Amino acid sequence: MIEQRVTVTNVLGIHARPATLLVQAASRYEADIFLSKGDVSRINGKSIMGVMMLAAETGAEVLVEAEGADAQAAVDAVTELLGGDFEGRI
Amino acid sequence: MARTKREHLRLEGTAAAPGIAIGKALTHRAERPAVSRRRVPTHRIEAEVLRFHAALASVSEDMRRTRQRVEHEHGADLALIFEAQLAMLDDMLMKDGTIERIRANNWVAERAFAETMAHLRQGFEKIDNEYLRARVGDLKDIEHQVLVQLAGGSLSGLQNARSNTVIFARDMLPSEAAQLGRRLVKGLVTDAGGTTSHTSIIARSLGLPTVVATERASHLVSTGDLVVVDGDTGTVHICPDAETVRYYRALLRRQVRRERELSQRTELPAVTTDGVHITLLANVDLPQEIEQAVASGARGVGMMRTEFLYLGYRLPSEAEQLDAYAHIVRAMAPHPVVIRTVDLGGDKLTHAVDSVAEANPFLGWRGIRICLDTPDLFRTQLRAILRAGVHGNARILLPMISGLDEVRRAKEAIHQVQQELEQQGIAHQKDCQVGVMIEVPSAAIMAEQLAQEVDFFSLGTNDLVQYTLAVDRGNARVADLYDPLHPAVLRLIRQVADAAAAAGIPASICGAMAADPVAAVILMGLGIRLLSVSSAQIPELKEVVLAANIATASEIACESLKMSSGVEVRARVQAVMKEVFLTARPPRPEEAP
Repeated sequence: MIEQRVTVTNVLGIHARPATLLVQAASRYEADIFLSKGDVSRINGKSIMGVMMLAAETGAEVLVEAEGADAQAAVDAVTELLGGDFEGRI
Repeated sequence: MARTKREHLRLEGTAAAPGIAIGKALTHRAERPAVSRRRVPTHRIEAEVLRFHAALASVSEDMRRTRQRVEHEHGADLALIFEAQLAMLDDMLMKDGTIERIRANNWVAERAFAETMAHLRQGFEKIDNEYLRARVGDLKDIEHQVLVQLAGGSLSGLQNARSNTVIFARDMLPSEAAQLGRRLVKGLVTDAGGTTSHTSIIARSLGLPTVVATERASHLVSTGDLVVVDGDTGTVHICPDAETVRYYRALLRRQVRRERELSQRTELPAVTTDGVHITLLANVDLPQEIEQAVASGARGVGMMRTEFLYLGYRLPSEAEQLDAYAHIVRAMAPHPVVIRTVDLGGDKLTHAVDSVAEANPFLGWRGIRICLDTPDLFRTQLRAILRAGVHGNARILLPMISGLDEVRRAKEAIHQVQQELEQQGIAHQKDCQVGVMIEVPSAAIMAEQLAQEVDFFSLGTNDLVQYTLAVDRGNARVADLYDPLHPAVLRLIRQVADAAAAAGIPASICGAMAADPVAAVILMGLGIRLLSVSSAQIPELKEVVLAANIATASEIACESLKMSSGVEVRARVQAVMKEVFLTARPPRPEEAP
């Protein structure tokens, strides 16, 4: 199990469009990916509805966990998206 | 259905966008199918799971096709709406949840799916973020489409539009109307609505013949029926007889021929028979309309609506807005482009701002009131407009002004943004003119004072009429009372035109009224010299100007102020200035002697 904490830095938080990008990225990996924030725990990172329900606003701290063969790569990709600037990719 | 198949049925509604459409009916958004509570025998469970997968695949395929079409016809921005819906259709929680429920309870796919979606909806409704909570609308949309698909019915949505389709709907959201393209969809008929609702405005700008306020058309028509939409008279024919079809086919040919003739006169200046120049401007709703506006011979954009930018999932960034405005300003240069700051609220598309349901949205938080209360939203838009101005000539138009104080506060905000851009060394238009919409009666009454504060007036007659006459323009039952030629309205317009002339500033009309030939004559008679209509209507309006005489128009306008009703005004104009309206169409079969 690989874990990493990340603070959401992009201006919009995880809204519909960035959530779509996040799910698309997560789905490229074999590993199971889970996101937790505050009292919302272990949301499936490959579910758009799950990620939207996480409602991670800018500044929120999110725990990213992954389990599986390519877990490290998956965690890296997801944390980069959460901590990076989505604007440029929209 | 009580009606015998193939019987010719003729319905009267309100003409909302001109033109003739002949095509096959498609009813939009049927009732949600009933969800069966039947149990599936255990040996059929896996077949049920497969049926669910097949339904999802089929809905996704339709949606992908719609997304492509929308992107092609309206640009990438509108297509984004479908991106998230497609991702939701492929969602693991939704799929796994449904399949688990089918297997665990022996439920039919419909029930398992509906139950799963209800569960997910609850999750969304608990989100502490207005914007994300509003995505419940997308969930419901998907739920509807999948349930219809599972029920085996052809999906009665816009996704099913084939060539030569006429859409029939009880009512239509502006965002849905924006999806309609002219390539496949030829006409639109709604049971509710009025001519100046946002949906009708979009239909007009797309050049889609539209009839609204038919009360029951969507119940009487069946998908696949041959239909005729007469957007000039407000008549709808369902399963018309051979004679009617012949008549309309001829009319359609005539319409195409006439459009070609008119388009050859775009360079001709619009001058009345007694030598008065009238400036014809284009209203623009979507950036891709600007090419058509330039081609129509418009001498500028009289009003660019900016609400389309606020259709999506989030507030538009300064860069996005700058792109859209600069595109239009550049295309129209050196002619001016009047950009109206966002007029959310009322019946307009709003899920981007944190609004609450209001008892009287038209008397509520809308237009400049929202802008002044959300300074960041306003500031971002003002920055984008001022920056776009360097590519040509942009002007700022403030909507829903009801008094002097609002004008002063908005001007102060503009001034601050200018200083900010100056300090940051960002190129912007320094001499940008600022004008106000005159659409609230109090602004019309205060026109003399307002004229001292601003560079131009733009009369928004759609709202001015509805506020002056206290008529909800979207309510089919009182639509008759909505009368732009009502003497009370004409008196207000006269007062505004006089105040503008005295202060030496221009006053234009940018409501639907300017496109009505009879009203255009009266407006010119009242002293209005700038008319702004959708690009498609400019050639026709130019014909009216070329045939009109200002001296006569002024006389009739003076008389009309003392008349009892708009009907009387209209009859008088038509009688005295027959030569202006020679372009009338041949009588319909049922009217022929």
